[in-house]
Amino acid sequence: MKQERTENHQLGTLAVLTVFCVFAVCILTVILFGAKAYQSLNEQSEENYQSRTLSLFLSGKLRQAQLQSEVTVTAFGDGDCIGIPEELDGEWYCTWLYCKDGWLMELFGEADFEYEPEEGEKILRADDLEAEVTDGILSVRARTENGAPVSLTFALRGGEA
Amino acid sequence: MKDKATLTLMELLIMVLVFSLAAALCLKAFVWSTQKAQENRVTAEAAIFAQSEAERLKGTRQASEGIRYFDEDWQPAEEDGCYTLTTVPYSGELLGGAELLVEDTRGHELFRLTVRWQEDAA
Repeated sequence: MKQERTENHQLGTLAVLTVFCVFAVCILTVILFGAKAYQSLNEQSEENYQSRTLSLFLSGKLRQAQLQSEVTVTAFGDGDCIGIPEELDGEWYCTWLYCKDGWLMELFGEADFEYEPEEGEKILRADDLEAEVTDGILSVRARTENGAPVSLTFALRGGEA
Repeated sequence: MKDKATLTLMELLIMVLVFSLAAALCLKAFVWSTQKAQENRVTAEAAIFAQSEAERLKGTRQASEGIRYFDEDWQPAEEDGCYTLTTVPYSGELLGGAELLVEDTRGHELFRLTVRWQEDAA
């Protein structure tokens, strides 16, 4: 009788412990799933932000150029370089956009002066900048910090009003 | 003693049941948020792609009606691509243009853009 009571007590305790373990596993599963979902959300947000910022920065720089038809593409830094010339007080200056050591760099200076790639200002993380001008259309390709490709096309218009 | 163990077991079972209900709602929210993030990413890519295509049309000033297919990296693909770009040209007296519609393979509209340019005077 006493043994039977002891066995029943042990079975009851075992059942309680089993249900508690199942409960703990369920909690852990939900927490892990939620953490994974949040991490995925953040990664996609970051990717969107980098692609969008790179795209907006390049398009903003090109659209505010006075002489879009004079935009040039040369080799500078770690790849291609987009040169946006402008005239200020009778002097010619140029804004160069290029990539160097994983950064999109911007360098503004006299058009005729030879600068070093390290003299530019870091704008944002980007790499593998490629550009070409064909029939008045500038095609730009780059990669964000996460390696996502960004491809843009701009119609270069004449600067005269 | 036996009653206490039974009571504890019943309490635990009710607790698991309530937690299961809450967890089901949470899991549904997590799945929804992941899907929404994916949709946002695709929409942002479609917007950038449509803007680039609009710039290309503005530069060439030639819009031809048709449907083009693109893969998941927005590269030209055959008819089994992930996305489609539908171009509907517009022709006016002084203005040229087109309407660009980016859709996925299920026909859901991702991004729509209208582009106009001034035609050269005759």
